[in-house]
Amino acid sequence: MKTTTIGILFTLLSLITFFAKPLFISEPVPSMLPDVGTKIKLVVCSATSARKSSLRNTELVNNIVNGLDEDVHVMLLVNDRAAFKQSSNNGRVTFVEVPSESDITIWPQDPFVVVNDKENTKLITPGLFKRKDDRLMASQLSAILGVEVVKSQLLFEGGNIVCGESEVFIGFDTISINSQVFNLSLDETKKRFAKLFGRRVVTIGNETQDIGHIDLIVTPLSNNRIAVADSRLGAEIANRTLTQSPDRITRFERNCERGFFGDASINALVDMDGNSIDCPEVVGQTAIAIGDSQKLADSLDKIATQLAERGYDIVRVPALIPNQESELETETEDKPAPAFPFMSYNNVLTESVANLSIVYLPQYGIAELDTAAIECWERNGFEVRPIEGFQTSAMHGGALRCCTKVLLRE
Amino acid sequence: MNAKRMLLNAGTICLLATAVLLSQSALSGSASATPGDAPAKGDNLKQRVKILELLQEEDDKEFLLVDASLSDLNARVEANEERCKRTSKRLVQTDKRAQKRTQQISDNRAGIRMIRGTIERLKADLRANGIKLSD
Repeated sequence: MKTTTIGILFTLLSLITFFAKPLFISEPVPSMLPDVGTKIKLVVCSATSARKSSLRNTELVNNIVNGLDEDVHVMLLVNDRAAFKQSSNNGRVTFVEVPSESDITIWPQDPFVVVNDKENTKLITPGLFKRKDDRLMASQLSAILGVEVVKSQLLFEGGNIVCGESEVFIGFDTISINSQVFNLSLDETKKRFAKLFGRRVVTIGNETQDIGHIDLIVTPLSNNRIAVADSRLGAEIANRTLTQSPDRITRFERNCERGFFGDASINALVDMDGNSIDCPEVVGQTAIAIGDSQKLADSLDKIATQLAERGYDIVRVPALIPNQESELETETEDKPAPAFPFMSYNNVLTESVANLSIVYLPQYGIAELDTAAIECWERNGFEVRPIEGFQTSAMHGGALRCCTKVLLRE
Repeated sequence: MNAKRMLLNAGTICLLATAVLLSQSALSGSASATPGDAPAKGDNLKQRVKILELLQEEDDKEFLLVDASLSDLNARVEANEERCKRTSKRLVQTDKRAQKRTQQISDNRAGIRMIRGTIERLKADLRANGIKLSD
């Protein structure tokens, strides 16, 4: 009798132990690393060499590494390690080598998304990513950092996804494409993304995007705020500069042309496939970009209204946005062919350190616009850390966030 | 007796395990992963970053990356420019020769026109003098 009682007790206790754990302790749900939050600890950039790429960015990498806080560690993807020499006693940068025969871009933002819980970080890659060999970036990082790479079926680009404190914002094109490919409704597609990223999803826009990547025009901030680009304001500032100081604009335009290949004496290059790459004409194009920027303003206002209706406080940031309807370089490219710089002051990195909000802000070289953007961010409570040298990158449609993927926050 | 002792020990262990689980749940608070609620746990990635930093000395905070292949590129650009100069020279010479030939052709054509003119005049003279000519 006693033995039977003890046996029954033992069995009951075993069952309780086995089934109680999930009731009392819930496993942390991995969720997308937000664009707003605590101190940035680890980022990834990529560097391309002059002999392997027409868009080489050594100087820009220097500006980014030195512009970020000194205790941010940088994983630097390279496909031509031998081309690069670095300062001795460098403790901040770890080179991550991609196979030398592969061709990578300077945009590590797009080929994967970072999710983490309290214990683990994972890199989520899309079902397909055809831009050069950028799909290799996640696996190479995984090998060095020991993080898991999870391949999703869904199709996405990191630049068309930004993450706030509680919600993920995804551009309409990404939702629409997946809806069509997988034969799902838009809502069902959003649910799938919400499950993948561990957060509620908000679609930005309800029609085909005028701007390919929303991270050029939308920036989640803390305390229920979102910054949205204002191309009308950007156009006004640029127009004033063009009227009052046309020489400055001409100088900027010439610098864009001269700096395109990194050397003023180079007018054309040949890419790996033997196709000629010519420097685009920038001189005289600011006036046209101003007009294009004004035309785009209404659609950006719509996005601001949509987010305001959702309960967010909207901050408007100037931007000068040229025509986005130019031909793509190839079918597989998702950035436009080089043209007038896309001057976005939303494509930033932000962090909060001991109640201080910091923004790392790209600078393009039109002083009035750069300064206006700095003042705008300062008015909204941020300490601004400008990072120079983005005009060539912007001619290819990308800025700081495109070039710098945050992997870890404190 | 031994069996009883074993059963008692197993039961005690299960009780203890349940107590641990219950106390973990009581101490960890909310189940949702909002920042600051759950006790900080180690993230493997953070540890990796620390290891990477320790493996490298850190003396100079300023980072400088230099693209040594730019000089390769400059050398290639200069070589291309030399080739272009040589090709240009050859093109100039070919152009001169072409001009000469064109002039010669033009001169020849003028000569042919003169000869034709002379022949026509001769024919006219001969016909005027009653000499029949075949066409």
